[in-house]
Amino acid sequence: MRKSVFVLVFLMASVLFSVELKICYLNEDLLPIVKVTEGRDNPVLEIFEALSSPPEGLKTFVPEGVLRAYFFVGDYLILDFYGEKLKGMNFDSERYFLHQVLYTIFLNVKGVNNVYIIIDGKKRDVLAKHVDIRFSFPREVWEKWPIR
Amino acid sequence: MRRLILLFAIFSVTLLAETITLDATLLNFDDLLQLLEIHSRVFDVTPPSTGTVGSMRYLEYNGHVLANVEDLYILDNSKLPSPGVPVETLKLFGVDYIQTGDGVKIITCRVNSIEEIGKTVVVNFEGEKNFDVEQTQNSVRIIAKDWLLFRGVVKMPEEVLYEKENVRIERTAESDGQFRILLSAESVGKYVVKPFGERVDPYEKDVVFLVGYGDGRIIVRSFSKDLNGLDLPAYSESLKLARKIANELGYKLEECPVYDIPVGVVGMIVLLREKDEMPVFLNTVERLMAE
Repeated sequence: MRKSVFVLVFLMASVLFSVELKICYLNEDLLPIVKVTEGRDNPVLEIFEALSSPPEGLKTFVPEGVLRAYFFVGDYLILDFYGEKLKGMNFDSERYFLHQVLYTIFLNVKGVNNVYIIIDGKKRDVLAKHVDIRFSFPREVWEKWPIR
Repeated sequence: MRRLILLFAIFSVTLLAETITLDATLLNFDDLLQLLEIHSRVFDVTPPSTGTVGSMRYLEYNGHVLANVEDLYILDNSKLPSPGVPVETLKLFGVDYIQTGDGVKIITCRVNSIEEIGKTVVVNFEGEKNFDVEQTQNSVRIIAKDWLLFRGVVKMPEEVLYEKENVRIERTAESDGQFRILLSAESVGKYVVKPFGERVDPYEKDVVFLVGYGDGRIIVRSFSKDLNGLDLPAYSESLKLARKIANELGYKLEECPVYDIPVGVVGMIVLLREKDEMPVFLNTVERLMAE
């Protein structure tokens, strides 16, 4: 009886504290496939962990351990990436990295309307080589998949 | 002791649009306090804190403490030789000033940078907006309309802070501490086709097509709210044109802030599927641009 109560409390706590995270991966044709996973304590960190570990048959351009830090300021989210992890990205992987990250963030973090990206704690002009990160990225563009 | 005279009503925020002028080089405690209160409001920083210990009054501002009992002044634990605060001490409190024939003018505007981002000129400043943007016959100039500090250097009224030739002012926008000017060259109507990778002039007046090879897609630079709408005309014009071309060629359409297309330039990156699609693409562009 005591054991059943414990299991019931544990299950209720799991339900109360779990969050559904929608993670954007890509198929072979680079089309977005959204998979649902369970988040718990730290949605942003868990989003990046999930983004870098695609299920079988799907691909990702988000490298493991790319997130250095993140900050919420009002309705802005500042993402700080490790520059080392972005080195070697080509034009396609740089853009798809951006789209996967922003689309997933705006799908899950409702209070955020703009995202800033910094590298190694500093403001930079480009993500790797081509994507301009001098300005914030608005929800209006990335709440939908930006490729049609 | 010479009296300090503030030429303008010191508690009126509206009158702060003028430079504060003093006719004295030695300030008493109350005058300095009033000056620092105005300074903190103009630059939106923490105002001076004050207190009393017995008959001694003190104020603290910008990390420095001034104490006063009658004619005795103590600044950061050092007794001042004069029965007042020399105007040079203002520097210590972070107050910039200039001595002119008319007296001492307190500088209420600091222009920290003027930078070009694509076709947009961004002026980052603190305090009052003591500069003007002028359209001359063939150039745009930013000039000081009162004494101000530009990148740490004092500039006098009418001094030119920035000038760009062969452009005109399209729009301006202002938000806290930032003034943006969207410049344009001549009217759009023609187009240029360049290989992807080639540099595009931020003042390019024609529609730019940066052409490379890929999976059949057109990439348009997305907008950012940071630019207060200055990039929206180029964004919507580029998107409209890109949509027509993508529809005709059966290409994908992507929005991404690709650095290669400068902010405010109408243009796009076209990734053709194969080399032999180039004539079809050029014909399509030619026809759509003529519409």
